[in-house]
Amino acid sequence: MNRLLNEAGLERYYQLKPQRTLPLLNYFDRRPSLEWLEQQPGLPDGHLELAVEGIQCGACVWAIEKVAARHGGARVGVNSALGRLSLRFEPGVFQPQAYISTLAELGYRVRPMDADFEDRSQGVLLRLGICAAASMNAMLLSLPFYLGLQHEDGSGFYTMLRGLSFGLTLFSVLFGGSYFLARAWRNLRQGVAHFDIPIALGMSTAFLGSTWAWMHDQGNTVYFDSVNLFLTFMLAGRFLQERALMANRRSLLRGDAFEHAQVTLLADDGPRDIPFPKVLAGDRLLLQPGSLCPAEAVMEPGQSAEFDRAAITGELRPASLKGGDSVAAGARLVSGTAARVRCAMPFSAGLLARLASASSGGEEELPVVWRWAVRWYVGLVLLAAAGGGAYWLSHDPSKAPQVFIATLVVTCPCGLGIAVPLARTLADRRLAASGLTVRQPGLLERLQGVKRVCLDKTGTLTFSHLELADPARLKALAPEAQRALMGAAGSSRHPISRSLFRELSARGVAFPEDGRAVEVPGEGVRWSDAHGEWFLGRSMDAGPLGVPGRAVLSHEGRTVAAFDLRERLLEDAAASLQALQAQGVAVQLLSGDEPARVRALAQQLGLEPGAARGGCSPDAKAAAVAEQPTLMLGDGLNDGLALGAARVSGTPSWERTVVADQADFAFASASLAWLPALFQTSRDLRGALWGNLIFAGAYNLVLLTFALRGAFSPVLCALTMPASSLVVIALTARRMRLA
Amino acid sequence: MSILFILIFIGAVLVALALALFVFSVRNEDFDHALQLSLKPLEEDQ
Repeated sequence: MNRLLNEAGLERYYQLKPQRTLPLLNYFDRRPSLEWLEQQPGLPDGHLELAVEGIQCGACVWAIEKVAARHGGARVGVNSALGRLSLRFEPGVFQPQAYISTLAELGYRVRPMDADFEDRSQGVLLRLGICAAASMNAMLLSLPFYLGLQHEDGSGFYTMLRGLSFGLTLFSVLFGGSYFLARAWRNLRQGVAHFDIPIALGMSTAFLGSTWAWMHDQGNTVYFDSVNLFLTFMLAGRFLQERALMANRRSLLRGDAFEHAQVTLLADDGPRDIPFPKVLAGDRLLLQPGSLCPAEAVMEPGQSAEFDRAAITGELRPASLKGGDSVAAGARLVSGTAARVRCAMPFSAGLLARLASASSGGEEELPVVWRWAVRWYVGLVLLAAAGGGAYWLSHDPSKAPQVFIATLVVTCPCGLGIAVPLARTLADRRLAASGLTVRQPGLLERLQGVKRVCLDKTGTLTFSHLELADPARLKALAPEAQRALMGAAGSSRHPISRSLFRELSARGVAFPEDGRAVEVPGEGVRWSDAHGEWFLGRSMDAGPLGVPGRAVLSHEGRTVAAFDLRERLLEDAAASLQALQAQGVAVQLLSGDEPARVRALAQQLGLEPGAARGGCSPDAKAAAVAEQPTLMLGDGLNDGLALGAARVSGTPSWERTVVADQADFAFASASLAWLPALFQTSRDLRGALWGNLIFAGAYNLVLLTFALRGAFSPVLCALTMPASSLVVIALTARRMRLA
Repeated sequence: MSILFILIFIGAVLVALALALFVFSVRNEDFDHALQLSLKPLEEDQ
């Protein structure tokens, strides 16, 4: 990442990036499929509207803009709140494919925008701004009344100010309030208890009551300024809510995991490419190096090849298969020559389709007491207002309208209407700063019942690629040996070769053009150049975590160097899991890899031996996860069912992962420090919601007593309503502030 | 007191102007790119 930023001349990124965000994962070897880009209708005209994930802060926005400038120049609009990327460019001059590839290398995932996407928050923003302006002016116009302006002055000033206040409030109610009125009416017709109903009720009765009082010269019951302020606060809360909703909806876009994936069919009338979903049982397929096997198949006679099954089982060691052997769905051909297979079942009935279609998540859930409050709030408010009005009607009829209106004004859910969306927005911001992209609503609420975290091993707890145990050995190689190693490693997709290729690329070794590579399946790669014959032999033993692979470079039969490769844990993995356990959350490893290796990893992480389960099939993982409410973290295809069975699920933002679009959230951080912080955020959100509810209850109870006694006045309302809202906002912001 | 009427009229005109600018700004999607716009002052002059 650092090298890529330096190469692109974007060193300033580090000056703009806040310290509190976590480092992004290095996606150096990701090769995102950009076939969808060709189908974008705006591509020929130079106008693209795209969705982008991974924006954490202003530095990301800056980097995205600067990268565009370095690719020939394009007008870039980045909406970081919604994750939208707007590109306007000159076709032929600016290459969007190269630009998006560079963004992917920097860790930003670009996807096509949902055709049905409509940003409803824009309309609310417009209403909010206009109501805020009306509100400030209405408050200013009300000041003379609170300072003692009386009707008897005879200057006409009183009448004008009241008229202006009424006009402004009418404008606010028609323009801003109609939003709540329409929604409340719709909810009522559908019989749904929603927060819009008490908002609409409070606003309309306060406005109509104030209008009645103004016309009947009841100055102590005119709440025009409070109606304006109430509407402004409600619209501010709704704007935050709509924004969060839009961002989540955009994140819910389904990926094109297999929609665009193709495989070569060896049909009777000649070979042709077909999409995965069209693969049928009995089809003969030609798998090219790097291709994924779409369904369970059998190798044809005379064939031999190596297949990487890491995405299915977590096992890093490729399998050498020959004619008659079974090839698992999702296995990737890593040897250098194409292989012919015959499908044993259609894609739709295969493991790959089943794993990719499993999904989790659920609707946004409010705590029980909140749902109860929303359902009964309207009834209780009306009951209190009617009761108060009736009491005063029998004791002092002149005070009855004042008490009735004051009760409805007091009980307007002002603080709650803004505090709940604010708490959620701040929680989302915290998650984004940790490198998390939320894909399903209600993630934090559902996390509150989770007491166990299950983690996959390869690609989740460890990086999916191996790293050199001793990089100095590469540096010690002669230049011609480095070039030969680059030629051999760069010609193979074997995990060990990819790791060596990555290390050599990072050191600036160029791929030699003057040599020839021949892959020997199961053994290594032969490389011939002007210096003679080189051989890169590879082996992956089943030893414990530490040295799972070894490569030996020899020249004319003489060993030149040996390289040990090891798995690399995510940063802070051990400390983060310990912190999680200290919070009372159990941790368990579930992996398809060999049990001994999983136990060794658990030991390295300081976990109990019982917390490690290796050799798990996809179904076994799902069954283990379903035992109790669990947060499951996984990346491979074999985790698809477990992610679906989990109460909450997360996955690294690998481009190759087909489960990425089904998890509740995706993380793009090279550290696991976000994991205990995620649970903390969930607890903080719960605390903020409960704190607001208790404060609002106490506040309403006190002021309700004033209202029912007939001691509530517009000036008291003008003071308490903004004060209570500001207190609630401050309490929420303090609780949900970034750590 | 008549000056107050004039001041209120001028205030109303200013409010209308501010609202028009706000609507223009929303339609221009300035609030969508707030982070991007906040970085503009850091740009070097062309």
